[in-house]
Amino acid sequence: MSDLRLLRGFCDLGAAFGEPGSEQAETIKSGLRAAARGGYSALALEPFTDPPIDTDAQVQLVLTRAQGSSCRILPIASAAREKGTLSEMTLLREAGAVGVSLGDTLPRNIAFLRSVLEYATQSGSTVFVHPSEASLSDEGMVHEGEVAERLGLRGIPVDSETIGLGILLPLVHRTRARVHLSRLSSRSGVEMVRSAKASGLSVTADTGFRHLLLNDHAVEQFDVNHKVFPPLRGEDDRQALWEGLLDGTIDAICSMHRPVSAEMKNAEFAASPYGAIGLETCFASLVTENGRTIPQVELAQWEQWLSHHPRKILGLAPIEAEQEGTWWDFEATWIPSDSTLVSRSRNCPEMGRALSPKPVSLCRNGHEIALP
Amino acid sequence: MTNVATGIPGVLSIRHLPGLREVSRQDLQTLLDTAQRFREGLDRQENFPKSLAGVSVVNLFFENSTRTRLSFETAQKKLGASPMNFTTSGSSAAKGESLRDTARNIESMGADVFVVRHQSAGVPQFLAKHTKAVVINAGDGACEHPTQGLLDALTMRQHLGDLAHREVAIIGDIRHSRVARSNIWALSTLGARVRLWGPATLLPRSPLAFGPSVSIAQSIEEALEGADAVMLLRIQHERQSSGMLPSLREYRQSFGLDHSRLKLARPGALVLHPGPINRGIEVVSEVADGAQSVILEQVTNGVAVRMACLHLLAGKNP
Repeated sequence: MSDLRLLRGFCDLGAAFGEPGSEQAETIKSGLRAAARGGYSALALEPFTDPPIDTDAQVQLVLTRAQGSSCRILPIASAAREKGTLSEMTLLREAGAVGVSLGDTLPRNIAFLRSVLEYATQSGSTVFVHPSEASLSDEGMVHEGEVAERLGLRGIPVDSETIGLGILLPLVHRTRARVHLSRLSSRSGVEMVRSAKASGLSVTADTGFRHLLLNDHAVEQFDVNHKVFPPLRGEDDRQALWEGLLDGTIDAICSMHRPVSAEMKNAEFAASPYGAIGLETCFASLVTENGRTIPQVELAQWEQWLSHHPRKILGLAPIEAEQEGTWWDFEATWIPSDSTLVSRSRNCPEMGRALSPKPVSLCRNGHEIALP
Repeated sequence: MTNVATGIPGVLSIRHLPGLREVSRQDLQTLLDTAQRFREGLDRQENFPKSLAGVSVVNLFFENSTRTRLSFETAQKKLGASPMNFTTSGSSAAKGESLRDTARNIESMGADVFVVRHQSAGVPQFLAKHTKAVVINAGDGACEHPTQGLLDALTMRQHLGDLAHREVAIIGDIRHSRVARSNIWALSTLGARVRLWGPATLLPRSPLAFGPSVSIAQSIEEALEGADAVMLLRIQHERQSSGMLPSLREYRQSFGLDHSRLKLARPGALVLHPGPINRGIEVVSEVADGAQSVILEQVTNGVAVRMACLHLLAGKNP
């Protein structure tokens, strides 16, 4: 028995790979292979490698390395270069960068943040940022709440996100910059974005799929694979992310794919870097929980959050599934394991859990082709 | 099964002691009863059965410690172990070796038991997962210090009897204190109620985190009012430089325990402190050395509690 369905290729708004610098964790090729097996046909790549992607030459290098993959890559370049100088946003865009990123925290220097927004507006670049205020988030490891209190772990307060938004949104209003808010995590954050959108601000937002599935109880036993940034938050925050997604405040769901090598990840909680891989398990994890721990969502709606909206945010044309899609078997289950995952990293919280649907093959311009 | 060494039933349902949070009431009672037997043996200067003879015990101390390490070593030697000590002030990562590698290397030299202290919460669970040794936590970050929680409970039990419905005030830097957390878990499980008080910057931000037996007081008076025991926590000097405390002078004035404040507690209420004491800051000397103080008893009980933990988790019946 199988239940095969063809879905439009997904598009991720911010995955990270390890090339250059941490190829043992993920190369561009291995990351794109993982993406294709997770149903993605396009992916915006974060720039914070070692060295970061902050010149047109590096953007071109990324594009070259991605050639021949089943998933298209859209590099996001760093908005800043070392020592707080602006990156060459116009040259970066001309080289193929889909936008510029400020990363996981706002710059401490707010005047520089304003410059980034002003310059990006003129050069036509979308600015990607997770709006957290650094001094409140820097020393934390998990969501500041009851779990952090019980474990004696330094928390990352929701205030870090709301204060970040409080700094960012007035500047977006003033500069008319096009800003995409990555990885929204909290109820207060959702509420601020909702009113910003209502007031006509040109912001879009996404949230990580695990933030829709889990809360901070996931770290109660010091499971390092659930140590992510922004952290998995409280249950009320998780519910609010769903409300935001369902009413359009949040436009898209992202994978938060962050490969970390086993050598680095398998350390004591404090020493273990943030991150979990997610491209291969995002859609299957969501559908596995569909109507159980999350609201019942129709397939067409998943396509909105995972394909249409992200493509629109990146300025890509809409696609049809026959042209660029993935065949999924909704009767089949699969288990993420060393033998089924193709990412070079194994920091996967779903390891060992039965998931459904299972990707079967790709569809490109009407032709069925094997999974890479 | 009767344990010959102590003559009492001595079987725990746990293999490791990463903390007290998940220890059942029955296991707590077994640990405390066994510790009480050892304490009586120490008072009578008995020779103890060498239940740790041939058991390889390694003290892994990644953070400075004098009294806890000495207390563990004393307990180990009394039970016939020849402990090995691994001490480093920096983290293993600073030397380029991961904690996992350090632990597995030492395990390969032969280690049946790790007694571990580390600046990071969760390290005991990490070692329990990645090695085969029995792991006893001697303090992990701000998470737990279970043998301290046990020795505090034992000391209180010796004076107050059953701790059910007893009121215990814990005053000081709760937020960063593993001692407070281990006490909270043990006391709640044993049926006592705990009131917390300290500077706002050092109190828990989530008052409900510790369950219904634990409350945050509104004033020092409310915290002390009618308490059966008052536990003072050591104030770390670096809380001043990190912007959480204006001065020790103001701390003493607002949170220090003196005779007049102690009178708010139940007559004869116990005064506890995990040490080392900042005399004249958390508690004035007259109270620390006074009739209600059980601070030195805590130290003796510390050896008995650590003997009980080692014996029950790793001892061989002679």
